[in-house]
Amino acid sequence: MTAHVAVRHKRRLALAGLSAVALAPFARAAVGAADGAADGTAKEPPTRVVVLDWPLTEVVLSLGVVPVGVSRPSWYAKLDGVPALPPQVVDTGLLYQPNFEVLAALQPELIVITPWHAPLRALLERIAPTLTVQLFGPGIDVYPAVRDATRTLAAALGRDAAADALFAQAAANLVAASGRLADFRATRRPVYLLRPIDDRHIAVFGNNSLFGGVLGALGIRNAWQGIADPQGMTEADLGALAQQADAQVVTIGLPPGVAAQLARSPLWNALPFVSQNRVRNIGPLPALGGMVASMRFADSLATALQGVTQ
Amino acid sequence: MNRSTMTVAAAPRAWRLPALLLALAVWLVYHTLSARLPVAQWRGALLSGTDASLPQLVVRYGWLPRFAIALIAGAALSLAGVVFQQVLRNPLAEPLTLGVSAGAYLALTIAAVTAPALAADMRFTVAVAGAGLAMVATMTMTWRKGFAAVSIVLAGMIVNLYCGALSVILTIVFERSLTAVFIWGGGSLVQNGWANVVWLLPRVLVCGIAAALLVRPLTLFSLDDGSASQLGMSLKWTRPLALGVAVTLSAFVASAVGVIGFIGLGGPVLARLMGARRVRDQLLWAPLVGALLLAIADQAVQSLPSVLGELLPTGAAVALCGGPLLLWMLRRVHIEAPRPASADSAPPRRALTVPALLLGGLLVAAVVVSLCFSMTLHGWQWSGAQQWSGVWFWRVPRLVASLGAGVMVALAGTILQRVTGNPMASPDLLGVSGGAMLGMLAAAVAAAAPSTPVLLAGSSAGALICLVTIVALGRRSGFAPEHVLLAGIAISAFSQAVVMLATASGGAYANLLRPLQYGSTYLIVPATAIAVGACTVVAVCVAYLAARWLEILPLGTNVADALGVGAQRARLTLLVLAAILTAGATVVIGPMSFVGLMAPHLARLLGFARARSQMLVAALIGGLLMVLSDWVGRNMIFPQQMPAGVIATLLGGPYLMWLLRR
Repeated sequence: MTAHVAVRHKRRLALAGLSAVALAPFARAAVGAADGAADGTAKEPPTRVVVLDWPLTEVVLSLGVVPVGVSRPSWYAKLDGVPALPPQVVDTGLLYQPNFEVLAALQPELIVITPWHAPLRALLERIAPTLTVQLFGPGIDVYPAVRDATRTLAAALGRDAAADALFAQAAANLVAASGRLADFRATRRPVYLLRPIDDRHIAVFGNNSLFGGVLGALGIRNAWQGIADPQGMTEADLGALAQQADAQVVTIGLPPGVAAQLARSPLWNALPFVSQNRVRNIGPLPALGGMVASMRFADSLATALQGVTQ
Repeated sequence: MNRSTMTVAAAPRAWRLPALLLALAVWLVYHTLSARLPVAQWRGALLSGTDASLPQLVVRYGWLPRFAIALIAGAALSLAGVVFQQVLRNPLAEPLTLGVSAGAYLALTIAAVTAPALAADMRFTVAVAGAGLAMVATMTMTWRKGFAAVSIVLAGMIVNLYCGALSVILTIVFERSLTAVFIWGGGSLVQNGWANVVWLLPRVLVCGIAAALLVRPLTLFSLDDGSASQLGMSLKWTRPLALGVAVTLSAFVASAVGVIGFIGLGGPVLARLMGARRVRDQLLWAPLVGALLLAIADQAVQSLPSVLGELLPTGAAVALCGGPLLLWMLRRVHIEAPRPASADSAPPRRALTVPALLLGGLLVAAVVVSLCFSMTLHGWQWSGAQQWSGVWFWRVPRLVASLGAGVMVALAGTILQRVTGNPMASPDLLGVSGGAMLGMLAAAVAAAAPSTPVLLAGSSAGALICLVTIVALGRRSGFAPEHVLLAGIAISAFSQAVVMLATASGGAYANLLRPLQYGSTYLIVPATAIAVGACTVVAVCVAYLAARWLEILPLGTNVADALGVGAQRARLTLLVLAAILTAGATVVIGPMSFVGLMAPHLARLLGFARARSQMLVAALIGGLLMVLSDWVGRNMIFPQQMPAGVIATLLGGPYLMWLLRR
């Protein structure tokens, strides 16, 4: 069954790659057309945009729009957000308590929020038209939700062409990563995606997380089949990881000091993937992000697992 | 006799309770362990062998040390609780209320923000240092008062709130780097080897021996300070010594496993229920009961289906079970006239007019500054008539709500402290704000898109349900103050556990709820502000009418009845009034531990001891404090909005500390 899935999966990837290559020139042409259309048409897309969420900031930036205001810009960088946020972007305050007076002073044409900002929505509508974009929630898989959100935002910002280019780039990226992971896929090992919190607790990425979705798209099984919260993560102790003893482990960003602590723990060292040296580390990535974060993860994963054949 | 004594209705059958606990613990241990490992392989997990299988290793390095640490931590917390309650003569004293855990939490938060690598490597040292500093602060404040019990309890609560407020500010600003601290705060017993047990066990043993050596002086604390001194006890030295032992114990536990509430309160109470009357017996039995309680709670958490078991920190689970258990026990426990309070000496009385006018003037000035002078994108600005149309909508409603809420909690606090005669009584100890939080949480989870009216309706309903529960429980005891307070604490602990649960997982609910927990004047629309304003006016009138009862009730039930005031009915009316006041404030801006607790104390320390003048001055102080806090919260770390309740703690705390030291 797995083989069948893998074949089907490869075919889908190949198709996606082909269409990406074929569409690329059109995409670029379409960008020009959109720019031209913006001059003449009656309703111009908003240019002064405020985004009250970091993953959504990534999406907006990746569509080529620089927001005028973002919640706590310094945290976007601290959460390893790419593309980088230009320094002139104004700080609008805390994530769920934006400073209304600052927002009003910025005179935005569009405010982008998440469903979690719902209590503020009526007040935000006083300042500017407000668009709710959902990246995660109960019963929602983050990976497809990110793609939908990118389309929604592109339509609202008049950047459909940029979105087309982004999707093409993502498809090509997936094909490339999938190719590099062919050897690892042949081992049929499931993969734990872990982010250690301290020496006793570990955050595990589930199937509904962004990275879990990318893993699935690459034809690799997630070793964590347990439930996860709406963002796709759950907290587990080391004993819970023993259930899938033959798994490969990929840690995403180790907090300072924790690696040394784990190395001293008898339980960590007793786990088969540790004692048999099947732990790889990739650099810090935002756990929740847009298409750019997915592409960065696919790249890093391919680099980490390339050449792992047993 | 000053100490609270609890007698039990069914004393002859007291052995049933420990037997039941023990049987439950054994069954749970068997259940969780056999689910992990077939019984035949248990020997291999226990004995150190190199050929152990993976499940055996997981039991040896995960399950077993976790069980051991639960027993040790439970015993230590319960022992500390006995010492605290005995030395301070207050059945509500426990490690959590005296600032020990809050100090450790603050130290860990600061370490995690400034030096993450240090925080991970030296967790124990950092936490113990924080707890120690907090206790030194408490002791310094009470040095001149000869470590009087009431002063220590008050100072401890102030340190607790102050450290808590600082942690909240850091949490709001640095939230994403504090996941590990949140888990620690939830009280997680997860182990990955024997290192923690090896660290904790000898330290707890040494403290236990020290406590055993202190049996005689501890017994003398059953008498009041004067009698104890006559029997040759040096209060100046024995009290700090005994407290030092208890604090060290709780600090060690806190640094090893995090914040675990209720055991320090519930262990000693259960031991007394079982018939341990003498201090000697309590020192022996309370740790045993505490160890069993924590082990049972932890094993129960582990035997939950995996989803819940992984999300639920044991500390939260303890409070989750402990709250209802305490409520159930309250039906059987009869508390006889505890009266822990009576402030040391009544300060000189003063004329009311001048200070009232002064405070009123300050309030008006604060209102004007708050409305007009504010930080903007272009620095500080005085908003004149031109800008007014742009800013009034954002500033006026918050100001009105802050003012009204401050006045209402201050009144509620005054009423509660006068009715219960307990200086630790504060509106959130009544459980009403806890209930309001629960209701708000339920509304946020149930509604797909939580809106302001939904949240408000939820919190009002929660406050009302809690109020009804407390009244129903209080009827049995004729609304005895301690009884009602204990019920309130149980409900508060329960709601805190649920909120902790919702926020510890770090989901989006957490980010939404965390600021609301600490008194945020952020989401106020004009309609809400008008409602709060109207409530405040009504509340002030009703409180004024109730002032006579507040003068008479502290004199005791007999005196009150003789003077024609039905003590029971008067207490009920006043409690309901306090609850409504608290709910009115909480519904809008979340629970504010500080204002409700401190405003009445400030009024009293300023020399306003009579009910009417104390209420008036407390209300003015409460309103002034909240208006100032709202303004500072808006501008301090511009453009970030800090919750006003936390700022109130930061503003008012130092002044109160200074007053206490004087």
